[in-house]
Amino acid sequence: MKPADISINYTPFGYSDWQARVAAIKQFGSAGKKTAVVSTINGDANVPFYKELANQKISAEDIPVVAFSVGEEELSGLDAKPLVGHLAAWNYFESINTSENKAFIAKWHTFIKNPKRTTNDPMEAHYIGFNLWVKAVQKAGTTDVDKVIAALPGLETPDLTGGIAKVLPNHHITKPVYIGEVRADGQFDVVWKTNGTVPGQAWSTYLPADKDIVADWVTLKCGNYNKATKKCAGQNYK
Amino acid sequence: MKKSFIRLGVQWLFVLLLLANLSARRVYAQSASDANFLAAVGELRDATFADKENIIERLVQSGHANARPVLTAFLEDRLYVRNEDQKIFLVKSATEESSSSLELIDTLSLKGAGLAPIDQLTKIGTNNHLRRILKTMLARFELSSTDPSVRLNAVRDIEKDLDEGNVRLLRERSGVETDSRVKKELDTGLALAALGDSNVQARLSAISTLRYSLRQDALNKLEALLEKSPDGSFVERDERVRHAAAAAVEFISRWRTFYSGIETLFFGLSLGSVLVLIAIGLAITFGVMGVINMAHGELMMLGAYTTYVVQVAMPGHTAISILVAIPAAFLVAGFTGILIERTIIRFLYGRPLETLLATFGVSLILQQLVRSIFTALNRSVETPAWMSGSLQLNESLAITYNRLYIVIFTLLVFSALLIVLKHTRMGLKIRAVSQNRAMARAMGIRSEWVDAMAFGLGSGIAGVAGVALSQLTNVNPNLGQSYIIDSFLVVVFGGVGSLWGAMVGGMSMGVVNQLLEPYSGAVLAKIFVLIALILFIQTRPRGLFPPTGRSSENQ
Repeated sequence: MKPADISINYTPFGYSDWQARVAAIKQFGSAGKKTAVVSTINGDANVPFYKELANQKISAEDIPVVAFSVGEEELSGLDAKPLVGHLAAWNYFESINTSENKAFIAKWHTFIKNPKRTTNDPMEAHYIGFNLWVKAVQKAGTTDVDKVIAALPGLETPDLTGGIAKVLPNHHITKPVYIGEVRADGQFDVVWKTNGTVPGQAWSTYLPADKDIVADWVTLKCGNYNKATKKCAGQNYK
Repeated sequence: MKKSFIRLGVQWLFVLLLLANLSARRVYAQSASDANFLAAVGELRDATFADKENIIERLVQSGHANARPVLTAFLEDRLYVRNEDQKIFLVKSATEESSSSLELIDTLSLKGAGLAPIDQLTKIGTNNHLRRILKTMLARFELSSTDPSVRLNAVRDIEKDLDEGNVRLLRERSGVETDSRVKKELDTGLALAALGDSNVQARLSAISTLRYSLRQDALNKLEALLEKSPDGSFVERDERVRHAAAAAVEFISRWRTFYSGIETLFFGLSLGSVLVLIAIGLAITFGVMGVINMAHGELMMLGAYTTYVVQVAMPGHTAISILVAIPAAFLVAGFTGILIERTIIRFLYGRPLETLLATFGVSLILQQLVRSIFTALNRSVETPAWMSGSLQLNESLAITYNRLYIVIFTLLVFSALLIVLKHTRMGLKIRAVSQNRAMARAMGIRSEWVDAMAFGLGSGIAGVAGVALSQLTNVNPNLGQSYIIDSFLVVVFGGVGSLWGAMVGGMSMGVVNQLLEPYSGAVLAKIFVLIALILFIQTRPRGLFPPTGRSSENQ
């Protein structure tokens, strides 16, 4: 991709006057090439952004927006119709059709006493996290923090989407990745998913600065071990 | 005689048999194509998105009369599978939250096939790619629609994919088209395709057609003609074509720059009108009464929540509910304002610091109150249909309706406020009290009552501003906080106590902000505006329209 084909823009937190920005996106997108927006917009600024997109008649078919922080709970607070077709990437969607997920949603609705409340990715993460903690405590036989941490790597628990979450030596877990399209009812249709689960990485293998760094809490007991210099930077990491 | 009768009878019998045979064949043929059609539709049930694309292709090529309604339903998310027998049906209209069952339509007879509860149905989904394909496919059908606006959209959809077949379709339509707008669009589409024609004359005439279209895609294609290939030779061999293209590119670019200037100006005015709307309420409470009301933003938030409540109370009437919300928000915020004035502020007149602190406290109380009732989550206020979309003024200039209405709304509120202050008894009293309280009291004006009314008026306007903001941004308990600083800036810049100052100040701040933003980014633009304002206040401490006359001397 040529540098001229990428346009980056930052706005203040909670920005709400998107008209000029969206006009620029429209202009950029009309250059005749396939265009997509990767949105790292967080929180409240999303709503006016999508409203402005819809008003300026930018449809998801022409310029889809991929968002990293829009989930079911966020969509429940806004009118999702202008967002239909835009994309989001998560490890879990409420709409995923597995028996575990259905049972979980049913339990959640009984607990919160409101059948309209949604579930979302962070909730699934906590579901997995708590189950892993329980297993670690059972394995360690104590709730002592250090012993529980030592017991964690290698433990497995089923996630809500039919996969297995396994704690890796770097303290990350394996998760599936889904890309979903927003539906008018504020839920997502999964349009792409990884084959099985993906192991979580602590350090990027693409960034030159991070290439040699590995995290391994089992053998190396270090979160930022440098393979080239064979040193553990520990808390002094720059 | 008898013989001839028999012969006639045999002849007739023969003809009848022949006819029967023919019609039997027709029925057979019909049912064969129906069977193919049904089979293809049936495959949609568990097809992947890639398979669905092939199936769509096949349905169109089958030429079956029902391909169009079925594909239209597919595009509009109205194609469902009945769980019990796995049969595919169209449903009447898109899912409404209120109804729990849908009216089924048979895919073949297109007649009603009864109702089915929604949990017994599974929707056949589409994704962006499929929707795009479906739109272009259906556009071919819609090219012969009787409604010119449908035809116009169809031509626009087809233009996105100008292959040989589509160009032929456009050319055929162009021969019989009667509506001038559709005709123009068709000519543009054909010209876009003709730029790649091998005939020089065809390319030249295409350029002269595209020259006045001002469209971005036309500009792109014309610019492509001027590019050089890697070996240094021009992509376009003919020099006349290059000259014509260069002239057209210059012409289009110049006009597009002009219109984008107008667009920026409108963006500025619309941002400014939001600022004016939130500042004119403050111009009364802060300007006329001298009360620093930190809860002004929360009164706007109340107005926005009123809009939400009104909308929830009137399900299915989004278009009217927003109009009902305007007086409702005025009353809610106005009465809350009067309540604040009567219970807190009236004890603190003349003590600005204490007023500031007390109203700041009130703002926190109001926020928490709303948080307790409605939770901290955003509430979704739907935008009515007449406020969504944009007004296409020409090929390169479109104005979004919500902004346009807010600019108009601001002007209406502003003039209404001017009339109230200048031409009503209450306005006269408010002005009298603000100019000289002691003298006004001596004249028999109940100054306490006037204070309460003025505060209520300012607060009510804040509520009305909240209705407008609910269409632009999130409705949540923090809504007010994000605007309160800006509104104070506008009032100070415009001149304390001057409505016209708030108007001119807000509009110019909006326009300057939008003019700077493309060059400096949103963050720096805001900082520049703030610095400029501070410098301005240094030289003219009383703002753009300073209060004049005797009343200003004791301030």
